Amino acid sequence: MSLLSALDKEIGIFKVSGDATFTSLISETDSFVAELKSFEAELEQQLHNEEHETISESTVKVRPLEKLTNEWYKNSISSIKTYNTSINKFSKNILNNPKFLIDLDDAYTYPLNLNNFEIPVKGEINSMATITTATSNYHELNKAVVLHLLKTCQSEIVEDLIAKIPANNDDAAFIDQRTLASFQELKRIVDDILINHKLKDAIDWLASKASLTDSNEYSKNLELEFKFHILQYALILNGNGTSSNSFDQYKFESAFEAYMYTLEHFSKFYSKYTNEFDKMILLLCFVNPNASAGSKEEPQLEDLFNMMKGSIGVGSNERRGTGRLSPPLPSSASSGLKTNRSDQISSFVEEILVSFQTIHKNQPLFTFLAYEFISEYCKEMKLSNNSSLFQSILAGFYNLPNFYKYSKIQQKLGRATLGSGAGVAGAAQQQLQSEIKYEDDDDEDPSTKRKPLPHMFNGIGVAPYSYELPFQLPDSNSELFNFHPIFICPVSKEQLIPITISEEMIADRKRKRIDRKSLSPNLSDSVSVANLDYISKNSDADSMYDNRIVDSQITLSSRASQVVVLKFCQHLALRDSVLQLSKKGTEIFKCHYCYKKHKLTDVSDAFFIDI
Amino acid sequence: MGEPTVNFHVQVRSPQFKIPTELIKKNFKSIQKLIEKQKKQVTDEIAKINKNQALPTAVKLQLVRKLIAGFEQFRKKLRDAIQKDEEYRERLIARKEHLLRLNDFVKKEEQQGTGNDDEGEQQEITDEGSANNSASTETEKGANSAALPGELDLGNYSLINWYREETNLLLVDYLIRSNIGERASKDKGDNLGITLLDSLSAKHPGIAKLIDFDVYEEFNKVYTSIFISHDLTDVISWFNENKLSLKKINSNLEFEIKYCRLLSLIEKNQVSEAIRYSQENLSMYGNKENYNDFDMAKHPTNLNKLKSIGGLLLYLSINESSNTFSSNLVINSNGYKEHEKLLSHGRWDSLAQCFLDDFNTLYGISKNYPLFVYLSAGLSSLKTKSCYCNEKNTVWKSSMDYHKDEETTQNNNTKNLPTSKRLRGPNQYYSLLSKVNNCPVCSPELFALSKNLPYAQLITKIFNNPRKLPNGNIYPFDMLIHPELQPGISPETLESRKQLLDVDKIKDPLTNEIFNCKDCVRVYPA
Repeated sequence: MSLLSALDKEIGIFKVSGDATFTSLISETDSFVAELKSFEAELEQQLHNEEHETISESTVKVRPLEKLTNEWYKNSISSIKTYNTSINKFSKNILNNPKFLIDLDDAYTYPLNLNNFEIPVKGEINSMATITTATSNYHELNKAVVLHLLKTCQSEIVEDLIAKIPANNDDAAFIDQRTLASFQELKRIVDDILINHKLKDAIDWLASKASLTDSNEYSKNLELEFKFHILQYALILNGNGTSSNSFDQYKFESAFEAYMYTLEHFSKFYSKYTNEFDKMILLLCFVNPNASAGSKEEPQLEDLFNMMKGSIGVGSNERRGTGRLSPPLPSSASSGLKTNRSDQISSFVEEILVSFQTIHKNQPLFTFLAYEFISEYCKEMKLSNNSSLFQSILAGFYNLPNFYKYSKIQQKLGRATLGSGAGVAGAAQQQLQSEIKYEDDDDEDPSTKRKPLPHMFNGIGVAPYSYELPFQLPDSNSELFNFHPIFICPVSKEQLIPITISEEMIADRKRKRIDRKSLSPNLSDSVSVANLDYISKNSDADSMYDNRIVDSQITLSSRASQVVVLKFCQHLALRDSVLQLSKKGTEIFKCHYCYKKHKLTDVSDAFFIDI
Repeated sequence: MGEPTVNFHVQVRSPQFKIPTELIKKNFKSIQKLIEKQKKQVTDEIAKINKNQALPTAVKLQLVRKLIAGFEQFRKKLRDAIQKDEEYRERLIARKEHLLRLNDFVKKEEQQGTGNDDEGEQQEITDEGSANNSASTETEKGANSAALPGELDLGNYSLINWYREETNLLLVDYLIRSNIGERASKDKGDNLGITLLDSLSAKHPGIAKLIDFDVYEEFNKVYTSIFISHDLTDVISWFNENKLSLKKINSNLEFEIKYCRLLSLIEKNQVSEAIRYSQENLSMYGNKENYNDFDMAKHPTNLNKLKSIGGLLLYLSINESSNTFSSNLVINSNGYKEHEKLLSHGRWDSLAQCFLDDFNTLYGISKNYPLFVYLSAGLSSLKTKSCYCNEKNTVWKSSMDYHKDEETTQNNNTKNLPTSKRLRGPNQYYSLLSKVNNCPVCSPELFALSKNLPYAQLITKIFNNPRKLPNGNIYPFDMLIHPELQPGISPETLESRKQLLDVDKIKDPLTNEIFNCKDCVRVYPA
């Protein structure tokens, strides 16, 4: 039995036991109160009689109240005892059952540089730099949360969260009003889609953008507009497009209205989506306006759906309402772009056809479309198509078992992992601190550079390129998480590191140095003086921190590893490997794959450009 | 179990079942007490009636009415408690139902092969327990073999939506518990996490049952009262409410509260009260015999803390007359600094930490925010060596950005020719090609958070049909010969590209150089 079925069963038993206990508890009490009330009524009668002196003798039955109380008590206690047994049984079978227990802390192998509860963790953090990083990271996290809420249209608390991010220094972070207004507009449109099932504003927005920019037939924008129109058409055909209408309220007028809608809006999509149109428009003729869902006249519709599903070419064994829509892929996963998109359209149309009669209940369909819309809207704002925070956490959900497993194996082997145990973040920070190493060996010959130790960080916690996860993650679903072209050198097994040092970074570094010098002319650049200054002055500490980050980025980026193409076989490798193979150009070497001979001069630099 | 399975999702959510059960247990005890109390009351009343059978009917009636009134009150209280219990059980049911939805998202191979389902699950559980296989073998197995039992299919859009809900819950949890700041102390009802949960509930009714918001909110209230307001009231009442359960987990909270109270007295210079308080409430903690076998470990630390109280009293007197030379020497001593720290915030930190630990142990909650755990794993698994800080992918601006933008645009324009190699890095070509970089790790906020994390171990993953142009740029060639596939391409550019293609030429979109198609060679990255 799977854990989930066991859980399902135990909770079922638990629920029944609770219900039984409390029903009997209440009924015990009720019957006791009823007994008391009848006693009260009799006493009232007796009192009445006494007052009118009709009967002097007591007619009130002598009640064994004590016995009744004991019975009530005994039964009540025995009921709750049964419940207590159920609670204990549930605890034993589920909560204390090691099979059900995974401590998330054990999967926190690589702690973020963030404090859990704004509390100095046990073992004291010695470095101011670490504290500054943790605080600044706390703000970064809040900023990411704000962006997530904006992008997922849950902006209710955004203002309050923004207020938590400090705004009183020179480099204060803010979001301009125009951007916020754009997100408000997005929220309005998306709420309309999700809550009211009204698509008009979304369609208008897409149409207005399409007329302004690219509107070639492969445009994603146009494709999404088509999806909206198709759904709108289905909604009209189904009723008048509001959620209160159900299929059985279908009217002939709706068919006419839907037909008029197709005439007005579908012409520009006609050539591209002929196949899909055929099926959708057919609905007009096959839907029987006088038949309600489930009636005898209805089967023809079911047959039609089955036929259409087959012709669109999507499997028909799947469950209704789930499973047909595949998530939109990141745009860099451009392989098989055409097929992928047309598959998506087909499955979308199929989803509409299958749930046509209960279209308003198919909320996943509206959610799917809403997120596709958000993605387009964000693209228009030059932002990535999804919430970065969500994507990262999604990757976390997906990959966590590996982190957990790795950590468990390490524990088993007696090696403490970075994040395990109490005061997790603190332990990790301490380890970081104890392994401080500044990466300032710029001049080192890359071909002879020694491989840094796994946890060798510089003082501000920037991981060097050599710091890699000790395990490989599963490759399935990688299309969901594939954002950059990745090249692993077949010779050195190293990953390509493109040049990512930016002009901004260098300019920023220069400007900060100048600023600092002009602000405090007496301050030397030497680390020891800077450190003192760093501890005493927070603002300077920040700039020092930034400088060191920029420095380390520049240092890291100067380690960029270049891809080269071998002239005679067009195979790729990294320059470092080729340098090593050719003994720095002094010898002829063979290609790693095909053994074709090359000289160092036969290789040329190459750059992956993903468009 | 390299891939996420339904089982794993059940296992990591154990606190979601533990917390309501703890609440049920607590509520159960109060029901039990209620019955006991009621029984005692009734017995007393009945004894009164029974004692004197000759009581006048009016008095008897009065007593019976009192009994009934008492019982009705009891019944009301009982109903309230039952309602609470039902609510907690509903949480268990809602969470179970929420997890059951995962069954719809398992990979299909699994659905077909349900015959040996039991066996597979059992095998997996045993594997986990022993964890004796090497990580790499296991990962390879996961990557190449058929789906594990209950393995989830991320290609299913509804599963992605399920994870969206989960992400929101992680955020609510984080926001409720970390709601520390001015607002928390000023206005108690104003917890950002709760506000977010309310707004989420509007769209997803029932979501509130998936999180123990009340427990977390109470945690936040008590935690901030200690850590920020330096107030003991809330933690004392929390301690009293959970006294029995805390005893079971060998909590040291009572000592910490008393110790903190003592230090507060000393801080206020109420020395004699402090001494009396210590004698009455704390001295027993110094005696080893007052500890049982399970919590003996606490004895030395508690004793040490108590030992330093004497010094503290002295500290006060030094502090008052700190002008003399000898006092200055003392002030610079380690002991003095320790005392200074104790009387400043140290004691609150220590109490807050103790409360935090006890709270987590009591409810079986992880020490780290689940949000951090998932985020760290996610960022590490997405972090590539091609990631860079993409300032464009954020809505956050800093006042310095404006100047920087102007400067760097000028710099770029003047320094770099379109053919410059500096422009071939992803940090440059995305913006030059007006392409949006969707990588989450590149977004500035998460880039900052992922700085100290390791890079993922990846395998080569290049776009289809990579071809190198004579200038060294490798493009997905299909995009060059089908420019209409390129997102965001303007009609004019598209037209000119098509004209070039007619004469078998292509234009490098980045450098604008024009090359013959035949000069573009297919490269082989393996």
